[in-house]
Amino acid sequence: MAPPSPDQIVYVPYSSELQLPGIMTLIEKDLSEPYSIYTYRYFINNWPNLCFMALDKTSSESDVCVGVIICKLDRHRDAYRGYIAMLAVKKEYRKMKIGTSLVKMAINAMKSLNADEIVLETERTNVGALSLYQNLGFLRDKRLYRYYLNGVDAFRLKLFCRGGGNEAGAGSKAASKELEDKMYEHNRMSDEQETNYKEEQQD
Amino acid sequence: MTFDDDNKCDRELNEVKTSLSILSLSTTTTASSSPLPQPPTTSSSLSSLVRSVVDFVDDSGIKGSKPEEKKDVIRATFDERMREDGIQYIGPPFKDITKFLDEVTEEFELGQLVHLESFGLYDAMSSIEIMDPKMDSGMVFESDINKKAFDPFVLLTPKAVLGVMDRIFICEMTWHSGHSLSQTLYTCLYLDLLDNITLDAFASSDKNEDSIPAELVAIVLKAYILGTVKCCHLVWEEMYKGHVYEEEDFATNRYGKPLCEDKSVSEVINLIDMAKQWLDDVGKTWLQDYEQSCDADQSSADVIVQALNLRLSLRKSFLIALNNISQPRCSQYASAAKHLQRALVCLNGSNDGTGIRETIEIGIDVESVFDPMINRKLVSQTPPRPIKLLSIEESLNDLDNLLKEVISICGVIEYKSASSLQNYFAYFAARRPAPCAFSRSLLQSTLCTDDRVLGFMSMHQLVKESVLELNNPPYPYFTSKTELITSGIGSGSRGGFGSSTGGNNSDNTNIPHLLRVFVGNASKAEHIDSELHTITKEEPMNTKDGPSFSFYLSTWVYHQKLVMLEETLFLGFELELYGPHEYMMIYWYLDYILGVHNRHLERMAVYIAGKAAKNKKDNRKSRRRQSRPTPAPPIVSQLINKQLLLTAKQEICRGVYRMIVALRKSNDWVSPNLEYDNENIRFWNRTKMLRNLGSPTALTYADFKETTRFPDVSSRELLSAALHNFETCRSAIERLNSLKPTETHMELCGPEFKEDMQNMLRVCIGNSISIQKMLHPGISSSKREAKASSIQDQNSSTITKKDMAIEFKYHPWYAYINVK
Repeated sequence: MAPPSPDQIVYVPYSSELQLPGIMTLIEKDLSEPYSIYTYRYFINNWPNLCFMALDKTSSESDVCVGVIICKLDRHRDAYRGYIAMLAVKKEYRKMKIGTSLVKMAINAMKSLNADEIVLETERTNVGALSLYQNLGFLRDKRLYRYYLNGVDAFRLKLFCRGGGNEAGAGSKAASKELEDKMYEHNRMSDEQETNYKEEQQD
Repeated sequence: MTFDDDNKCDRELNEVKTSLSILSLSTTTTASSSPLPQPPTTSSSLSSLVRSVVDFVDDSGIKGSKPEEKKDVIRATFDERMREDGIQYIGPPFKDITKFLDEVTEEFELGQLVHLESFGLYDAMSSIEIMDPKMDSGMVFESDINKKAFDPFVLLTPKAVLGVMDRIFICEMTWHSGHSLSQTLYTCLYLDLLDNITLDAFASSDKNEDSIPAELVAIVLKAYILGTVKCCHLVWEEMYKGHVYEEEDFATNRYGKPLCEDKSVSEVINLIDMAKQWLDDVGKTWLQDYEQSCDADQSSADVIVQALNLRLSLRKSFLIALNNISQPRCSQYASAAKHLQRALVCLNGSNDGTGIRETIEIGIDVESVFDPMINRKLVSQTPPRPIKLLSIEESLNDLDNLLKEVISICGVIEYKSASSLQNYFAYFAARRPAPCAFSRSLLQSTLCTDDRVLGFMSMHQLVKESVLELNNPPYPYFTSKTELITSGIGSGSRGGFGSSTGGNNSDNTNIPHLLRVFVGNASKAEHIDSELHTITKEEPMNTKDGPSFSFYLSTWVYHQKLVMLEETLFLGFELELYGPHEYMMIYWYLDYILGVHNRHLERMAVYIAGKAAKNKKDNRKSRRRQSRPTPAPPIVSQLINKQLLLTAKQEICRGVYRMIVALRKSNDWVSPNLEYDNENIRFWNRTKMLRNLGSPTALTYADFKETTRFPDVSSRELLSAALHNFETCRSAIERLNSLKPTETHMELCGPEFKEDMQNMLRVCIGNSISIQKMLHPGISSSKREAKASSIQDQNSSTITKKDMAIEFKYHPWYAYINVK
């Protein structure tokens, strides 16, 4: 059988519970322990708009789904946080940027819904996943010590969608001005140091 | 209620067990290796009851929709199960509602789900699908039914006894490595029957026909198992204090089973001694005959006896040591260290004797003694993920590390100074392989239990000594009148003493919290300082900026805060959090923080020196400074030594980031094109923690851009400047190396500090060589390949040209840019 080509692939948003068995089969292949069907439903029923599938047009009805991404988006502390819960691409269809395309669809969807950040966890040893996300601009935000039961550390990857800009500098300047007024010498000192430092840098 | 889209066609999928979805709210699963956060594992008789109900409902059947493979699975009905377990459940009798459920669910559409409003992710993940062997631990397999019951009175040959001992040891160490008791120690079927295993019981069981003495099991093996369980009990008591994170680092769930609490340590030690005695008096002779009858030479009998003896001896020493350690106020650490040394000798052998390591081939496996499925009899709804036990070699190495770590901890009670203790903690956390959960927990307990640091001083006193070592405030700062005030900063200061990473640099989750505590401390300390200025009627020193007060306490807090900040930023490298495109920014920021810190100490040194000169005449007041020995050299020179270390770190950071800037200028360092990356946003978020701290003043992205542009400086000039930075770092390190451990407060971690310095030197030398190569016209940068390859892995930095690599092989914190 000829290897699949990118032209065969179409990307569609999730639309029906009928697609669930295909999604589950795909994801379960990569898991040592199955999720119960309720785990899938939790995500997909709550955020059907954040679930995207890659279909092989040429495949038979039963194994048409060759890639899937499942996400959620809700409040986490003071941030509106997107979370990539599951991403899977069928083995024979890898190295075709299907994963990257699905992640990008999800990111764009979450950004359009005003996500502040998008996070996910992945094993430290999962080089493929790490490079996929990092190439898109995800940062390693935290190392989760022995996150998985197999004793492997995980990374929490995060894509920041907000922050920075001019207001950032102005904000901190104002804060430091205020501090300067009310605090003691060592704080004045550190400001001074900062100035010295900047001057030194520009030498 | 939630109604989902549906379709009747898909019957397989439509096996929605409504009852389960409701009931699963109370059931729980053990975690699987899935990329989702795991729900907490709990176990309660209530949930087991609920499961029974669910099982019952399921048994009598939702018709015709179960997958094929489930057919050969025989399920005990609820009633039978109750009878088997011999459990009398209290409560109303169960009622079969299957029919009712079948009827009502007939009206359901595909995918419809009845659930409580609060049904969330954890509930979804905790729910199980009944009759799925991967999820349902209540299933009874055919193989279970035909399984022969374990007979504890089977006589074991000496080699089999060794095999069982080694397997139990493996289980013990696998538990130490983070797995549950139910999958490790509890799999040994002797465990529940230890009290029944007596010589009398063997005699009456009438199995003594093949002349193997029952003592091998009833005395030798029993003593060893008891010893192991008692050790586990003492370890469990330490771990149960909760210094390390449960489920991630260590599983303390005992599933309601005892761990030999009813036996005292001395009782168990007596049994071990008895076993050794029997081996020497009777066992040895018998074994020599036995081995001869098996056509083996006599020496093999001696080897077996020695192997058995070594295991018993190790168990005894380890048990005594653990017992010593568990005594209050670190009072028996010295004795513990002695016994741990003995255990190490048993393990590894000595010049004139064999160790356990050399005898691991002798034992033979006795599979019938262990049941990995024992877990299903314990209270747990789902089968845990299958685990792989450690190998015997891994177990021996783990124990070897554990013993050495604990010996090292026993040494900290030789307290020298607060700073030495702090340095010890920092280097302990940096150990590789990472210290095991038990030793990390023990270190925390040693640092502080019942407000006793190292068993003899209060946390307040430790903080006081730390302040005294740093800037030596005048005597009234710590009199009884001010004690109450100053004790305020002691609370929460624990973080400064190495507990910031819980003794393991791989886990830095605590630091941001501790930094917040320190922000609180800073303002508290300033407040206390001003009060103390009034109380001590301190006269300000005149500086060019006007009158200046000492601010002894806030100075100390600020110092500690900077130490933590630096550690946090550096740990990002060690934990592989930063991508190569971020290195420049982080080193640039570190350069700034280290500079602030350096000047902070500088100011302190100037102040103290000035004050000392001024107060020379009324110096006699300070004679009551403290009862504990203080470091011999004057405070000022201590500060200078601290500054020296900061200088070394700062120069290396500055050198590296200048190198990177130079490479960027010469187009040898290409920023990768990351689709959703925005440098400004990245800077803002990466420095968020620093921005919220008040001081030091946070730098902005504009600062970063402005100070790293170097519009009028050429790439070569930058490289020369970086070369100079590495030179300065090298001379600072050389000066540090010439100092005595007492002068650098490294008494408790001399070798580690030396190695650290050595590694920093290597980074300097490596980078200097790279710079020389680049400055050398023979391999000028313009000749290098123009195309940069894309990033494959953040840490194999293909961000630079192909003949260049960023490596952390010399030091986990400092990049070595290798130009090939």
